[in-house]
Amino acid sequence: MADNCCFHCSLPIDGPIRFLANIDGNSQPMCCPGCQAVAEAIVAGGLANYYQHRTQSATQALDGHLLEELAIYDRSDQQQGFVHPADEGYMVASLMIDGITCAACIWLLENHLSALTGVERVSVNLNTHEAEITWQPNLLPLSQLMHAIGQIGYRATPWRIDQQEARLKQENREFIRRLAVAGIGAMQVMMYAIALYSGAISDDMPTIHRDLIRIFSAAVATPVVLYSGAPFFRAAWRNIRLRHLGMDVPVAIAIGGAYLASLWATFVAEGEVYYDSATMFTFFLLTGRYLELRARHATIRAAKTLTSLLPQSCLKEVNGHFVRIPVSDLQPNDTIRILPGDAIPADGFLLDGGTSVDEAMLTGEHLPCQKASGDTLLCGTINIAHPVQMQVTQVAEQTQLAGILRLQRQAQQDKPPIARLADKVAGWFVLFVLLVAVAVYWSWSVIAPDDAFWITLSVLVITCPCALSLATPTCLSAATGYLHRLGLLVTRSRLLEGLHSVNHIIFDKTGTLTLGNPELARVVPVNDDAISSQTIIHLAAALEAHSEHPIARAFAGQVSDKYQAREVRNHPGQGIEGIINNAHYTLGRSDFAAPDQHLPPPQEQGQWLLLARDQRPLAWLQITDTLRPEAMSTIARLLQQGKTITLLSGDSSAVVAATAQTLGIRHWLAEQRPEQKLSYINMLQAQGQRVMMVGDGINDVPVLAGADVSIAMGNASDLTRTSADGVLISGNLEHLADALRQADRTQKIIRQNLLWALGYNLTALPLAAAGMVTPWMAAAGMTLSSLLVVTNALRLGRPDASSTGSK
Amino acid sequence: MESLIILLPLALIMIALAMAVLLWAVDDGQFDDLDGPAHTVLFDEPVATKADNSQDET
Repeated sequence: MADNCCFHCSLPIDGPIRFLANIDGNSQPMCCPGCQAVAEAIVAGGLANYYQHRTQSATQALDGHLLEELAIYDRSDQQQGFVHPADEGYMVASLMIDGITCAACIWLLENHLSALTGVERVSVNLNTHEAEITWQPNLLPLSQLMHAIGQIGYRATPWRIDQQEARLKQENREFIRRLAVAGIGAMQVMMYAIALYSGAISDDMPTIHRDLIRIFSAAVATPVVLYSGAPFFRAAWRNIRLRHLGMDVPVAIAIGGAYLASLWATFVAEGEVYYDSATMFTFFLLTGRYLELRARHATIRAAKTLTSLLPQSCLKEVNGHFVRIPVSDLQPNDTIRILPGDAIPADGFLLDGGTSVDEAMLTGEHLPCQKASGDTLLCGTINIAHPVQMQVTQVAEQTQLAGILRLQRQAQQDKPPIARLADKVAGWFVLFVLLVAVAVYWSWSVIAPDDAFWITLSVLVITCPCALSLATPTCLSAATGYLHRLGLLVTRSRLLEGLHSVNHIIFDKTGTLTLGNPELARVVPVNDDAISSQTIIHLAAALEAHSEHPIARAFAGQVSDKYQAREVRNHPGQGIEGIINNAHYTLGRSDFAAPDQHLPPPQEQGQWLLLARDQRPLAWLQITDTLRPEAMSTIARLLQQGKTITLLSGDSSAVVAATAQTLGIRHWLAEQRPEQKLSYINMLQAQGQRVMMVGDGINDVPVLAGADVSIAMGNASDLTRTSADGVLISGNLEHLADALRQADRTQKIIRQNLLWALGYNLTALPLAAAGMVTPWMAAAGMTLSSLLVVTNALRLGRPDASSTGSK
Repeated sequence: MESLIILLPLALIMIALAMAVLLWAVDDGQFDDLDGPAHTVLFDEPVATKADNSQDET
């Protein structure tokens, strides 16, 4: 492992290694005190094996909650909904754990927590990131338990099972139950069927035995068709009522027709039975639907962990002071304080000053909305500009957001557009099959009226679009799983299809191509004032403390008690202003901080901010930010894949030009405000380009929402992550190029699958129409074509051989 | 072929049992997490031996 990467979270370390942790006798480099503390806690707990077990590196140590903050969860009224009593003084708590990357995390969590006194049992779910902990509250308060989770680098929040989660769980179990019945039933029916086949082929089975086996087959097939197959019949019925021919109609006809005809054949003791085909159809098709369901659930859960837009706590005014309280304690008529970048936790109205608010989540309007005193603020919208006070009017389920979330959940049930292609194909297919079936029945009733019914039935069975309906879901499921392993979380199902059509990629600079850990490099006073550099830094830090812009991180830890900024206003893309000790300060671009002076920065290179008091320039501050190590090779690969790349940044031209030149990007635009970025993208789209935006900051939100496909970096703010179609959790840009290639492969394989499946059905059709297909041939053909399609789709779960070869 | 009279119902009883066990397992929540247990079983070590064990190892 390279020396300059954090041993815990694998992030590169800038400059000298300042933090070390002793792991299994070796000093390992750490990127920050957070990771160091976590690694030491893991080793101290005797759990250093975690580092051998893990298959993914950990996330950088999350800012844990303070023990005081967690103390609110010790109150029994706060524990409602996620803590339940168990027997003999034990309680069970459900917690949602942030920061789980692979199965070793689960091992670590379970072992670390089990070692605490009072903890009886811990179980963590890798799919849902839900932890169930059985413990004795009188030995260990819940806050300590949650704090212990924080010590090893994870973050615990109460997991209140909402209706949606309960429904997902219910749906999942229901499906596995149907699958189990169909699977076991199909196997048993197939065993009976083999006896029947060999009897039919050697033609020496006594009729009495044949009929006995048929009766038992019917007994096993009945629950499979009626219980496991029920979703298909229900969906087909819905399709017919809506006069829309979907995939479910031919499926229901094939299963229902084969089953009913077989029952009839069993009853009158003549003709053919198709119990094996009917049950296997049900099982295979259910498997396809189950994969679809799992991929959909994973997307809903991914979106859900990100859409926890509402903060857990907020600042409420109590006797003139602002106290942090849980949002669930919020009551109408409370006064609360909202910092820039924070979500508004309830509906209400603005009390003082003015700010701008992003209401995209509710209105779809991507440009910030100006708000003055007395204007309505809606729950879930984001305060962008200034810290303000608001009065609460409505909370929790009464808010407009709650209503919209209910609608959004319905929308998430939608199929991805790519899956609708299969449905469209199915529509024509059904029509065709039904026409052929009518024609076959009509012509055979002229030639051989006795055989007409059985031959028509074999046509319907052989054309069951089993492989056709497995073609798309298996591909999507395998491809999504692959992207997930790469560290690209798919939060909207349109991502895969969108990636395929993208030809223009737009990168933000700070935090996307660079690491987004800006550092203050130099302070250069403009005049020889008596102000010390240290004071300049304190002044700048006081202003930046009110900002969520990545640059603000350069000033973290520099805040001094002597300087506190009031009435701070953010001007996205330009700078920040505020009042410190009764003087008006501005910090940002020189034309913003001191518009009349037209001062050139001390040097062309680098990024310079100007600090001014009452429009009189005080000092230049240089901010530096290093490029991501893989940025250069990624850009080269994307260019090689034939994509156009544009660097779109709010920073000054000199910095952007230098970055673009280093990376080999020919198109770049600097000093872009969010609305300019958006109009640039709209212009490209008007030219017919398909645009992908990769960004991380709040100022990228309108642009992310406006692009055809959007990807947020893993360290982006909550708002940015929720407005993107995917989140690059791994933070490794290389994976973007891999994802684009994967999207292309997915499209290719889906088309191959659809073609093969259709080809099989259409070749088998004339044979069946000629009366040459017996039940065993129908079963074998169906199985083989389905396996072929599934195997082809599973190739998407593995890395492309050609991609590793070309490196 | 008279064995069929016994074997066919026997098979029916056995699959009924298999289905009952599976349905019980589903309701018991054993299928709620399909990915985690596959990994955790590989590196589970006794929790009790932790602190002193790491020193004994070379």
